[in-house]
Amino acid sequence: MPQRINLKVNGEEREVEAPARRLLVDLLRYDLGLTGTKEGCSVGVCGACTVLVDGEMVASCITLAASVDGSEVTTIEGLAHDGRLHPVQQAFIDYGGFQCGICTPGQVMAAKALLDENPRPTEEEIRDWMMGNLCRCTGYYKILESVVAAMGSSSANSSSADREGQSS
Amino acid sequence: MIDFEFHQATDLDHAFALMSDYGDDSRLMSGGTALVLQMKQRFSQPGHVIGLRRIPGLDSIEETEDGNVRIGALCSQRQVENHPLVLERLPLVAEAYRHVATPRIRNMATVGGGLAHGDPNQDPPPALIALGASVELSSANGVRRILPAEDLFVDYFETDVRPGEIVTGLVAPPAAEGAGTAYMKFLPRTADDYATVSVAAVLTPDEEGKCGDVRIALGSVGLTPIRARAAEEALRGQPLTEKNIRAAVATVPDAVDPLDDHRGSADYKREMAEVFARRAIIQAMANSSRV
Amino acid sequence: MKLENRCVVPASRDTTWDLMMDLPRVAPCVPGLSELESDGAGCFRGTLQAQAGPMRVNLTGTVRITAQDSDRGEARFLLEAADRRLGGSVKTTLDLRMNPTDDGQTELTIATDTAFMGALGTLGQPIIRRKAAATVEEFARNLAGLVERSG
Ligand SMILES: Cc1cc2nc3c(=O)[nH]c(=O)nc-3n(C[C@H](O)[C@H](O)[C@H](O)COP(=O)(O)OP(=O)(O)OC[C@H]3O[C@@H](n4cnc5c(N)ncnc54)[C@H](O)[C@@H]3O)c2cc1C
Ligand code: FES
Ligand code: FES
Repeated sequence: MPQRINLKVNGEEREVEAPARRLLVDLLRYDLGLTGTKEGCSVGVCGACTVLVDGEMVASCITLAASVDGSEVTTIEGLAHDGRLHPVQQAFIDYGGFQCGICTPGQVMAAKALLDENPRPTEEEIRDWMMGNLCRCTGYYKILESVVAAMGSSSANSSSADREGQSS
Repeated sequence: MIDFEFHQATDLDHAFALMSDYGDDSRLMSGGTALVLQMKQRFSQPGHVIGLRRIPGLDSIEETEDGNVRIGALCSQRQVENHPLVLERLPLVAEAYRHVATPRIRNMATVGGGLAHGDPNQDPPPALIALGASVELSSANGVRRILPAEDLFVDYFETDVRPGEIVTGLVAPPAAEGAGTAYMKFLPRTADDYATVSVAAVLTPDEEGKCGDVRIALGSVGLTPIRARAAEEALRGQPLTEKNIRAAVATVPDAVDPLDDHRGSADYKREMAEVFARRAIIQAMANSSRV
Repeated sequence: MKLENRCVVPASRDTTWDLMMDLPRVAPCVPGLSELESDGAGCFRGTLQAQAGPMRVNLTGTVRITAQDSDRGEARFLLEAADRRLGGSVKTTLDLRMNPTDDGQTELTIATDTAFMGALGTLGQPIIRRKAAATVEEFARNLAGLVERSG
């Protein structure tokens, strides 16, 4: 049975008619064409499909779109503003936080959720939080470095240029 | 997934009305982390899904008049692990919820959904059983049933939540004065996995350092969480020596009845249950203010 | 997947044999089995409801006797059933062996070899084994009750 689902996606009101079985990841990718969000495992394990619903990170592959009707959803497409990348995105570029990139939107969304909630996490807190975002390429060290770097910059909200030389 | 109708319950009465309308052909959904997977894997094919997450008033954590802590069924599992009252009064509960999957799953998953799920591999149930927590079940017309957590789990993925009932809360007593608690999750594979074996222990040494009250419960070692009653019995009243602890946990392999799976053979889990029961007891002693 | 379960029926082998070959009579002893109907040609249709873990299955299909040897007390059944909604099916060869015990009862061995298809194949075998053993136990209790009632 199709039903009307209203979401505010990356700040924009969207209305979609979809059956109740529509998963949030599919609604984003196929109904709204927001293919930045990736699907990996489809069972809540890998984190590739991470998006924020009302500010909280969720696995969109096991979220029924109908169940979040009326919510605000933030995807990777919603992070950059006025042609400027979000500090977390910029840090992943600057610090080599990705290779093939399939896990990256999920990593970035997870890292953003962490820094929104806890602007100065310890390295252990970062590891703990990011544990649920799997990556087959980077070996994780570069991801960790990227998040640490983003932490330095997002509180100051500086551009990437300000952070040059901060890595060691 | 086959198609179904989704109904967002706006309050408890609405949920009960929907449940009576759709009966057997409906499933309740809170966080959906377990249910959506079951539906995706076609294990469950309800015609109607009743969403509970928007029901107001079921997501608070507060102290009751008699000094227990009441946790609303719609609290997310992360809310529980981080709540100051839980951290202070129920450190064992915070610890057990912190071991569930990943922060993302704990954001989505609720306390009530987790209890009703009835998977013997879950982390919180052994801790709740060891503490002597109770589950609050509500049905239409204000009817309530309070069930010891221990009695909730009746079989593999089967609980004593009856048709027409909704889990509305969890009430847990803080451990006794001087008690130490511990939760041990044996995870040989990855940190976000289900336990191969898990053990929760609540132990109260008496003034002389002997074992007073003790409760030990295990997860992932049978069709339900299992209480190690023989081990408790053997330890109660005894000096807390290594020898006595070893003798007590020697009863654990007989108390458990694990399934073979990719996390280990039944024999291996039986052995690990003994090892981790011993470690949990020792850890609980270390966490007690009396030893 | 192969399973073998045993139980003791409090009746002679001949009585047990007659009972087991009369499917509509033993049908009520099988936990979860309903509506066994004969097609008149040795084939029976029925529905079996079972729960194993999170999966509730509703298997509808047929059972027929494909071989029987009353002298040896052995019979073979073929069961084919599907759960339309889950999108899965099973095909089971079931061998019954009846051996007289020293005290005049009958040891009944139920050996099955099952192929699971579709969604049913995703459920863990250890739990199916556990459930099958419990089901045979319940079947045996029911069967004993039936034997007693029929005197
Ligand atoms: C990737 C992944 C990893 C996991 N790892 C772990 C782990 O390491 N440790 C662990 O303990 N658990 C783990 N889990 C399981 C997790 O604990 C459960 O999925 C979760 O607790 C279910 O809560 P929920 O609110 O999402 O329930 P739902 O999925 O909404 O519901 C679960 C069941 O309860 C019923 N139900 C829901 N709410 C109620 C209610 N209020 N009253 C009555 N019935 C209700 C539903 O009908 C359904 O049968 C994992 C899950 C996933 C997806
Ligand atoms: S695709 Fe959603 S967690 Fe892997
Ligand atoms: S960059 Fe390839 S999987 Fe992470």
